Amino acid sequence: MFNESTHKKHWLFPDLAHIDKLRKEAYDKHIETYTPLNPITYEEQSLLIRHYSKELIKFCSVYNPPVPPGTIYTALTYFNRIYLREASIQLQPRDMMFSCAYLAFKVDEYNLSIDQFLKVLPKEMQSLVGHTVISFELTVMSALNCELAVYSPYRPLHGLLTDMKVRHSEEVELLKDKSEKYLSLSILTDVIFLYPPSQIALCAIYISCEDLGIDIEQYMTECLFSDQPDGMKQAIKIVRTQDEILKQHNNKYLGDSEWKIIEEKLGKCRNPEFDPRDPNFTFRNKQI
Amino acid sequence: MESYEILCRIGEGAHGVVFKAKHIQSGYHVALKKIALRKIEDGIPNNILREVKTLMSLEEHPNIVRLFEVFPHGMGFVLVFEFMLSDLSEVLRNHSILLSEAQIKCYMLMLLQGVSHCHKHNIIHRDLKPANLLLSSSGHLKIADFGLARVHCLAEDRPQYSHQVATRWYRPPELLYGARVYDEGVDLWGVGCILGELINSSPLFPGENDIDQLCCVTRILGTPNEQVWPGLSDLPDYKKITFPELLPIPLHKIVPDAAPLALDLLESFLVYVSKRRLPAVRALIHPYFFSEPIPAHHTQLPSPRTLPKRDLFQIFSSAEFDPSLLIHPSKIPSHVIAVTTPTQTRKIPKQITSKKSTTDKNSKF
Repeated sequence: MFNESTHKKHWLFPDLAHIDKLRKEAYDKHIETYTPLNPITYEEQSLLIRHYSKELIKFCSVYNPPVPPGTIYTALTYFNRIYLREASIQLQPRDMMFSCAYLAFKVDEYNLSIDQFLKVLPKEMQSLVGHTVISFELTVMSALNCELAVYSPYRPLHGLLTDMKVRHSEEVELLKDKSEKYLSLSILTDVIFLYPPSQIALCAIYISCEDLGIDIEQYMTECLFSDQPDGMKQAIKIVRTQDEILKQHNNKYLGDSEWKIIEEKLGKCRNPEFDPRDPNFTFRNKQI
Repeated sequence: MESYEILCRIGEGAHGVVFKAKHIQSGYHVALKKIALRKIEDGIPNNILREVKTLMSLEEHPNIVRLFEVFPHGMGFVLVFEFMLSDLSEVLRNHSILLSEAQIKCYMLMLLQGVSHCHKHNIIHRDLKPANLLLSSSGHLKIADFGLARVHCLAEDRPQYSHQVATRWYRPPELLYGARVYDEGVDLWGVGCILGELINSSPLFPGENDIDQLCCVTRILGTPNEQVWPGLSDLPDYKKITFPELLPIPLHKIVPDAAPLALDLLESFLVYVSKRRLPAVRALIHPYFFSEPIPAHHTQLPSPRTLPKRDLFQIFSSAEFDPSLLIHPSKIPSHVIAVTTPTQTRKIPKQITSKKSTTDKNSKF
């Protein structure tokens, strides 16, 4: 029941400006309370978050048996939700990446012990990451307002594809691959805070159909919007806006040397109270 | 934590202690579940995450216990629930209370409303039993314990639970056979067991261990086979346990006090094939609830417990009068009654056991 969910009520926003404002406010709030000498700028933080969103997906893909895409989506959503309310000088993206993955695995019942979770990492990293993940669990929970239920676009995606196959006898194999690929990129953008999962899924299919030369509009008019001619127009508008957001987003990833510079800068300015490497960081579940 | 004043300890769960406390600002009473994480290597236990996720994602419902907030505290964290006075197991254990049919209907109505709300949101409770059905002092029944140990109320002056085993009695046959995949039917079986227990004042299937549990079930429903229960032989533990061929005993012999409509409802829950159990939302419009005596009002339910200091234990949510709990007979769609007369619906179990047409004749001896 997406319509009654906290996902819809608390984590979808009217437009990009709104989301940006939330992030900026969170950033300012933390810079004010903890003022380091050479703080990471808001723009640098955005780039770093973007970088680690991508890293998060890569990290989750290492496990065997594969982590279901819906679970990866949950982790990614947690990760991005955190920075609507918190800033990187407190909660470093790298720490949050691991914490969100571990929490999402548990919530979605991809059951792993902490040791199994750490096994995929190089030996020398394991104990620190383990310490980090367990220490931050509740911090992450409260940053998420304990709203752990996330609706992923993968379910509607497969639902729509099945529907196209059954009701419109469409060949969907190629389309499935292509739309999943599209989705794996679009979920890295802010569309996850703007549209319900079904619309994100529809966008992935629509654009993939265009690329493959499949006439999806016929299916949409006949099967999805047969009783609401206006719905079609609106749907296409939503799809176009989403696609535009993705295009804008795509060329803003950091190169290898660039993110390391920002990471280093953040390492120097982060709040030591929230740094698991710091000797003073002994308590778990630091309250924010 | 500063906003609560702890009043007393009311119980202990698998992961921590439950306290009764007062929200200082409002004066409301709440139940605080303290979860200690000190010794847990893997962090927050999955079942607690499951409970938090479930309760936070469920819309507020009068028949589901409310989780107000979750916050970190010391080396662990605290879940803040609405405070409830008692639970249904306590009413059942109290032999001075004899439930009337109208009262049983009222409990069942509230239970089914809560269950159908969960199922509507794709949530399977998986552990329905009287001890998890909490009662407010206004008589409202609320489903609790979504994956966590139950809240005991005022444990110091009530008999100790000798049976953590309780859960087993409400476990459906597919789980007893080790099924890994299951559905809402799990809860509907539990609902059936609870209905039977309310009528009989004693559990329907009081198995002493997991094997005995299946014995209890087969003794009444008859030994299942592929005809009655397609897919049975594929269940993980099917080959590990064999039972003598038993024929089903008609339920009216097991629950002699049940009115025909109550029996009909009971029979539609206690079915081997999970998918054939009556969904909660449809059970709510079963003629049982629309026939005389109509369900009692929640204020007419037995007071959960006579408390020494009543004023101290005023309920937290002065649960408002909920008109939906009172369904007037006039509201019944006439076809509902017309279509499902008791004799007709009795056929359901007969179809299932159709291979044994002699069943009824034999069992009379």
